[in-house]
Amino acid sequence: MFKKFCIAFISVTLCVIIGLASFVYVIDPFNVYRADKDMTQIIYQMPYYQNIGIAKYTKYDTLITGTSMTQNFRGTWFNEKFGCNAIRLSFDGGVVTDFEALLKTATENNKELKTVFLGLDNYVITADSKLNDINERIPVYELDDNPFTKIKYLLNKDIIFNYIPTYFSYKNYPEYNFYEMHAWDTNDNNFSKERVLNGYTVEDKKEMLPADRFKANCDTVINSIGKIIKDNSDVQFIIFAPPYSILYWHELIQLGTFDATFYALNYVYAELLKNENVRMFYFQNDFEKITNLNGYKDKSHYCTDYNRYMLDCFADGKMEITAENCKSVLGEMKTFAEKYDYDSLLKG
Amino acid sequence: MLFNSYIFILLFLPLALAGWFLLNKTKSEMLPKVFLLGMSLWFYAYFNIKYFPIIVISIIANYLLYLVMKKSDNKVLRKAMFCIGMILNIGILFYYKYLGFFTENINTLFKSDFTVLNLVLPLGISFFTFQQVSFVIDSYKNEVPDYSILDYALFVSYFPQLIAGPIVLHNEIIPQFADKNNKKLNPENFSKGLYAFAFGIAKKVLIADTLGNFANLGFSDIPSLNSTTALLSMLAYTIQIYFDFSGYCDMATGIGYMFNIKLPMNFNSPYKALDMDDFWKRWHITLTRFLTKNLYIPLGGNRKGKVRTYLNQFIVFIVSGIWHGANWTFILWGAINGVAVIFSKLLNPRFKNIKKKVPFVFWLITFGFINIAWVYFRADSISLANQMIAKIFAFDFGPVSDNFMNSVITSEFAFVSRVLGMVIPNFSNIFSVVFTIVFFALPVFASAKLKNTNERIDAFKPTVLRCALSCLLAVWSVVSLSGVSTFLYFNF
Repeated sequence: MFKKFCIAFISVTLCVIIGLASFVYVIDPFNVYRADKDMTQIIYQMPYYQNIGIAKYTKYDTLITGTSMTQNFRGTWFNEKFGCNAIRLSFDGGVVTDFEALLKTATENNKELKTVFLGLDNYVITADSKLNDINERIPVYELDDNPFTKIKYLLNKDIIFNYIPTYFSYKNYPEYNFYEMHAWDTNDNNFSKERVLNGYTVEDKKEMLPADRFKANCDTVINSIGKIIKDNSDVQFIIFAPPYSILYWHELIQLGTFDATFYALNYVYAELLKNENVRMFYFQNDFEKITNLNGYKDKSHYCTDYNRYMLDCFADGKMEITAENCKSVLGEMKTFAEKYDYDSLLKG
Repeated sequence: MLFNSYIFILLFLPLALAGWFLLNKTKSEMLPKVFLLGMSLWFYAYFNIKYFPIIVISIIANYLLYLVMKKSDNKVLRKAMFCIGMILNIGILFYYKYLGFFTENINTLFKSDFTVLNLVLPLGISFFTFQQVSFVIDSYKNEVPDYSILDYALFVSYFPQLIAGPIVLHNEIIPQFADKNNKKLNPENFSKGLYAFAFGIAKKVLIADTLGNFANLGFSDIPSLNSTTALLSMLAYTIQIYFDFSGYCDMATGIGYMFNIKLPMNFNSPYKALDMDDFWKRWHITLTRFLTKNLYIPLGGNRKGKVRTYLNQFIVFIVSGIWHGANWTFILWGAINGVAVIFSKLLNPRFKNIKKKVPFVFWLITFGFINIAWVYFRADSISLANQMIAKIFAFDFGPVSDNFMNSVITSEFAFVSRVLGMVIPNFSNIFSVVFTIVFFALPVFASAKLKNTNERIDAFKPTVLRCALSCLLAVWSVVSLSGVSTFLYFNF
């Protein structure tokens, strides 16, 4: 009887475990083993769990990535404009390590990749590099091929009891499709000056930090994203700085990070522009747009028209900066932001 | 490596068992032991290779001291070896565990500015130090037979008990490795082992870790708590610490059974206790045994009058408190337990009869006291613990906020309640009642009324129901492993 107990326990437990793991493997809600566009429609809210798998297994020649500033781009726009096969994989609130992981996956697994559009937010450059190091929002099983790491995905009750039921319950929702995935303008499209000013808190004025305050993190960007760019000279990287509203700069002045931010932008842009496969677009000095708060929902997030506008610029070369004029463009921006009449704006 | 990890369950344990029993089929005495020692050291080094040399050097040093004491009749030399052993073992423990705390207090007291070292504690150091201290003491008393270095190293590093006890003695483990009857796979022991392991991992992963989320949330923001949440946070920790530590010990016991090596019982349903003296006879039994033998009795035990007896007991509890951690909260926790045990011993003769008539009242008082004592054990500082107690007694009984509810409602419960919501009308109205019963009342009931795992092993019969229950607990625990926390007792 004791022997039977042992055999029954081990065989039943193993069978159930293998059965559950196989079930997760077949459904594969986070695209760890494969990606198809029908499947990724379903669990559409979790870019950190999905993007790596999609980047690894989907066929595309153009990748659009960045933070929430890029989430309203549609791959279809790029297809129409450039005749390419584009996908957009953004990380809202993404940091250096997230983009490094994505670009590494895309360049290593997709030999057809020709162009990367990378929205490089200022805060991605200036955020504390230590914070970036500990950022592990992309689950380890997405990045690590060790089978004992993959088990964390295959035998995971959150996936079994939460995400797979969600997969089945959302399966027939028609309104989400692959190109709309992770876009936030589908349910949040109220852009107005009133909303921006209501949501903006004027920070207490702090002492200006030393200009090289963010140098360590700039080096992290250069050594991670910069290295991938250098190692993939056959891929064109189109890097762009999203057009934050003028209030973004006001906040930096108040927080004392204004000088340090410009130092960081100068330093990182100059380094990235040394690569022949890099083109840069600077949208932050489009003064008409950034001072019109009706195009925003908060100090930094802009309306979808601005995404369209940026796409046109990529095509016709407007707003492009080069190694030669980068310093003067940033200098002009700095002067404008420094001298802007914020008091009048804030009075409404 | 953790017991509750995929690598341990799916690779390490099957490999260790297969290797041990297969090598025992050879005629070699040494080979299986060398294999098990190698596996145990891998188990230890897997956590942090940096601390691997500490345990190896510590084992070799203690064995050399034993050899000198064994071979020499020179009293002075033996005493010197004994002292070196004590200084070495306690010194390493002090350096890693208490130096930071000690320096901090010196700095506060003398307004000095010594650098405070915040060292990462080598895993299980408190446990293997005590094991080796006990061995050195026995060696000095000439109570240790002839052991090879292999026997000794295996005794200290044997992986089921290596990192969180029970604190085993050389004479209860080493002879079991030598026993020929234990070298063959024994289906009875093996099935008991599987059964105990399934219960242990379920206690740890399904109950302790889930309630731990609630306790962590409560203890991390005490000022914002209302009385209900403070009370439940306290109760959550009381449940967590018992199910965590005893769950670990059940797993260790289970693995021991699989190897035919029986480990001593560490918990005997402590939450069934009707007074604090009783509680301490049931909680962390092997630590109490160690402190009684190596501290209480050398201090004079109960041989020097009542006052000295109680004083000796109090000292034992202070040491127990310090052993648990380098913080004044642990010392205070030790002190209040010490006082409670002394009171309990003093009052027990008077309440003997009434205790039989209304055991529930005594249980409630004891359990309530244990809960409050754990607050001092868990809180980051004494003032925070006081705040927590004050919150409970403010009688501001508001609702439990959603983030607390969500901290324990794991995906399977969310799934079940979603399904129940479809079947039972107005399920959301009774949800909070179901929630409290499932997450708080059931674990308390289980720990205060049901048989503990050791009792279950003793009464074990291989039935279909038991097998089905064990399989369910094992599978449920395995799919719950991702993201679960580490064992609380690793840091002690």
